[in-house]
Amino acid sequence: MPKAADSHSFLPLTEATFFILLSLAPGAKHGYAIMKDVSYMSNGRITFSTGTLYGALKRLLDLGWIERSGEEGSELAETSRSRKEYKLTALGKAVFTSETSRMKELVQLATAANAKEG
Amino acid sequence: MQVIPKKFQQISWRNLVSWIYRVSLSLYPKSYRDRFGTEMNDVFNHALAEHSSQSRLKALSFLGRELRDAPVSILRQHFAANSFWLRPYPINIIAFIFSFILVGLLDYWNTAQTFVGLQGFLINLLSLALAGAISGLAIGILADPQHKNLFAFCGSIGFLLANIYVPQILSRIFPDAFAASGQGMEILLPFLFPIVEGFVFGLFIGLASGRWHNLLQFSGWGSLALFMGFFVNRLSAALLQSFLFHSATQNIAQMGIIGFFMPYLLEGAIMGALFGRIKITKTSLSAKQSSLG
Repeated sequence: MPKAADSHSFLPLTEATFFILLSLAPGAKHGYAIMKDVSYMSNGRITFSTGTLYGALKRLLDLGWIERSGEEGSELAETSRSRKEYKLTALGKAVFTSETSRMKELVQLATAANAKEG
Repeated sequence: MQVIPKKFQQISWRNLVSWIYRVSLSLYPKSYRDRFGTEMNDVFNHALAEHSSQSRLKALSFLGRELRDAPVSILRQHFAANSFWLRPYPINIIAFIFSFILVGLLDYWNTAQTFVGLQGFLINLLSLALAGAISGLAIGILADPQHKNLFAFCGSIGFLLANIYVPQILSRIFPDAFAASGQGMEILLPFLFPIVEGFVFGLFIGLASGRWHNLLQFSGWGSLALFMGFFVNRLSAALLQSFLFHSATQNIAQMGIIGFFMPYLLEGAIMGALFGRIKITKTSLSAKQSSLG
């Protein structure tokens, strides 16, 4: 499993991945809540189908960025068989923070460049 | 007025869509389905209920998105799972390509009458036996490495008998097809050949595995593999002749070596891939009994 220190090696993230991590940043959520959250936060620009959502969640589980209730090694308690919750792991949080910092730097650079031009 | 039974009244379009979605989930690899299937079904039903409570248009847009993404998602998961249907078996594919290039060469020699009389007969015999042995060896290496030589031997005999006796047997059953063109089974016969030949070849390969269950598996897959291989051979030859070489027949002078052998290469590749699908049962009955005892 990659360490939190390696989180920079995964950057930049795709928009869809970033929105999933963003949706899970405040706390654990189940699949349908993530789907709605991402659509709402992106103003309907990113709308997952169930196939793409679970494909992305599986990839993030495999990367160890999120954990799923009821699965081995997860701290989340299983509430129902069909309603699993997803939560960011330490590595997931580190990747999300690194990506946010990277974006912040970009925005700062762009703002400075715009200010000079103005 | 016709009364609609109550159970049919309850079948709404949403129930139908929901049922179709549940069925479509079975197209995902088993491991993925077991892990996420129930949850995906639950999320789909929630989303469908919510969208359809807003408007028909929203429900349609949701379903359109599902329909658009499903094939890619399914295929992606099969690739990720290194699935049964997409697993490459290079050794099988290479061996069958080699064998069928040899068969192509034999077809060329026979057409050009390069070897005649006893010499031609022996060349035919040896080439077919060698092609069968190579294919059988490759299947054996994957299926049961300890007995790979037996697989090669059985493959050689099976391929030889399939290619020599099957045409003779079929010509006796359907004499019209050979007597004059445009009669009886003439059109179907070329497709019947590979099915029966594949069955015979598979039967002999199955014999090497020594299990009845495998025998039936190999015969069935053999028929399918040879049929698919033949179909791809004829289709690719027709396409090459028509669009690339504008040749009236599969003529080596007009199509060149690559053009001539390409259909055989594709045939071998398809057959190698299909034969690689077979999972044989290795545990013998006596071993099972001793483990139970």
